[in-house]
Formats: sequence, structure tokens, C-alpha cells
Amino acid sequence: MSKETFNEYIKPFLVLVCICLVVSFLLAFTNSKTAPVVAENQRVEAERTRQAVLPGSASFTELDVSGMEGVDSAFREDGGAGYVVTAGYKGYGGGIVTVTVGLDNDGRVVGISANVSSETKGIGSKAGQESYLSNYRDLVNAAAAEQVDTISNATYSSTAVRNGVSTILRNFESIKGAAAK
Amino acid sequence: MRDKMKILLNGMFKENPVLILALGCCSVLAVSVSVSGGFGMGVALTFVLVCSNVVISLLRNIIPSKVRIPCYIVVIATFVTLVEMLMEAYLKSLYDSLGVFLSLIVVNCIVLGRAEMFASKHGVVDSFFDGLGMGIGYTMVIVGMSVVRELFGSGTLLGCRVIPEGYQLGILTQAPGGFFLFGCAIAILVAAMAKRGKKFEPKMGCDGNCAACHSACEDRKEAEAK
Repeated sequence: MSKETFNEYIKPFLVLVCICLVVSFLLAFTNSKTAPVVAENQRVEAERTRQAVLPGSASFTELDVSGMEGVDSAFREDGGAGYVVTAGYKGYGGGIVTVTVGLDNDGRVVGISANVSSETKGIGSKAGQESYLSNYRDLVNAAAAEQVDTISNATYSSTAVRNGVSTILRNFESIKGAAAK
Repeated sequence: MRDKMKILLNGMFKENPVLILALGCCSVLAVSVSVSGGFGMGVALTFVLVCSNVVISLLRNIIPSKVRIPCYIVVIATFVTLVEMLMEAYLKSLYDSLGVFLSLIVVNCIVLGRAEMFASKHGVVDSFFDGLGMGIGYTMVIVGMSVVRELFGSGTLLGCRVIPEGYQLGILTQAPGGFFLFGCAIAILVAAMAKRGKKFEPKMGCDGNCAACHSACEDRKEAEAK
């Protein structure tokens, strides 16, 4: 093989492969260091959200939510203080608004938070503010949740919150059933 | 030392990547709604720019010109992924606020532009200063814009309320407000340069100013030779 052929066809290929190999090892190494930290952060974050919506709660056990339409996850408080359930609905422009609701043992909403980071800042994000979310506090049945007004000019975002809460309340009996198992 | 300083200042003013070369505008417009996010983005981009410039300058004699663009992209993507992983693990709130724009540094024209225009033709130290200067230039613009947008658009500064609720110019936090401010910033810089007697004429020919010339030199020389 002439030197020209090597420089023309083989060398570019070899150089690119070598660079890719080196960076792959570098990235794999970094990932092995950061992945556990990331997982731990996510766990702590989720735990903190759950504790915030259910006053007096400490640790949680996850429940099986298969068959409950619209419910993303459900947790039972280990001390029996109640349940924490999340549901996500489409907000404005396709982003998902995730609602986390704390329920006492009678299915009453005791705390609620909504992740509105995908909504328009200053407009749709109003649906995640305490002043709006407090409308859902103390509700027990899904029909009552559906009666809560949406926010004018943030209809999509606030409807997503409302759908989330009503879905969670509608499924409360099944969640309770899953916990009893 | 003086020529290093010149390279550094070049990125900050004379060839400011955002306002003069108009590169990387997408991330500037999108992220400059909050000062902390803008600053974080600036630091992340500066890190990637410096690292990729240094590595590409080191490899400039090894990389065959045929595969140079894939090689540059791999190197740039590596540093972006590194920043992403580290930021997700240790600076979660910043990671959340930058969102997709952090990964989009891979295709940021400033980084690839500097790799192609500068690092592949200059030594390691010069490339380091070029990356640093360009990064600082970018950070200055994005922080400057985000101060105005956060202060008048959301009424806060670094998250603390400065202007009471209800007295904001909401449009500044949206895309149109960003474009408007971007145009104003360019106008101010050009006016300032004109006042100091510097002619501002983006030339189509290269006349030694590689960053402002959008054609590849190899092609040009070949065409001239023919």
C-alpha cells in the first residue's frame, strides 16, 4: 500500500476512531462518578416534595399504580399519616405539568404542589403558585375539584393542574386498595 | 504578553462573538431571562470553549483535514457532556434552569467557529486566550442582557425582588423583548465604536480578520490559484 493511500483513506479513519475511543473512556469514567450522585439527588428531591405536601410525614413506601389511569406514582406514608400521589397532564404547548398531592386517610387534600417549569414564565406559571393551588385544599371528591375555576389567560396550564387533582381524587379508593394489599 | 492580551480583548470587544460576529444568538436570547442562568451559561460556554480550543490546537497537526469537522464535534461534544454530567450532579438548580440549552452548546457556532477559524491554525497558548476572550465576551453580553431583562421584565435581580409586583414589562421576558434588546445592544456597541473613531464595516473579504470572514481559506486560495 502506498503512503498516499494510507494518508488519504486510512489515516483519517484511524485518527477519528482513536479520538472517539479516548473520549468514550473519559466520559464513561466521569459518568461512573456522577451517576450515583445524580440518582441520590433525584431521590432526595422527590422525598422532599412528598414530605412538603404531607405535613408530619417522614418516610414513604411506593404503591403499585398499574391500572389507575392518569396516576404516575403513589406513595403511602410509613407512619400512616396518609398518601402522596402524583399525576401529570399536558400543559400549554405540550409540556407536562406534574401535580403532587398529599392526601390524608379520608382522601382529603392536605397539601399540593405543581411543577410548572415547562409553562410560560409569568403566565402559565401562575397555575403553580400557592394562591391558585390553595383552591384545591380540603377537597375530597373529584367532582368538586372539577368545579374549581381555571385562571383566565392561563387556561391550559391551570386545566392541567385541575385534571391532575381530579384524577388523583377519583383514584383515591383504588390507591387505598393498593395500600391494603 | 501584549499579543496575548490583544487576543483576549479581541474576543471581548473588537470581535465580540455575539454582538459583532452574531454567533450563538440562540442561547443568548433564550437564557438571558435570569442573571443566574445567564452567568451559568456563560461560564459553561467559556469552559467548553477554552478546553476545546486547547485540545483542538494540540491535535491540529494530527487531525487530517478531511475529517476535521467530525473530530472537532467529537471533542466539543465531550466537553459539553462532561459539563452536563458535573452540573447535574453538583449544580442541580442551574442545570434545571439551563435545560436543553446546555446540551446545545455542542452545536453553538462560537465553539465550532473558533475551532475552525482559530484553534486549528494557532498554538496552544494563543488558542487558550482566544477561547477565554471569546467566552468572556459572550458572558458579558448574556449577563448584561439578563440584568436588564430580569430587572425590568420580572422585577427581580438574582431572584430578589427590586421592582414591586405589577410594574414589569412582561414582554422583556419573552422572545420579542429579547430580540429588541439584542438589537439595542448591537446598536450601542457599534455607536460606541464609531465614537472612538473605529470604522465599523463587516467586510466580505477576509483581509486578515478570519473571524468575520465566512469562507474557508483553503477554497479561496485554490480559487485564486486557478
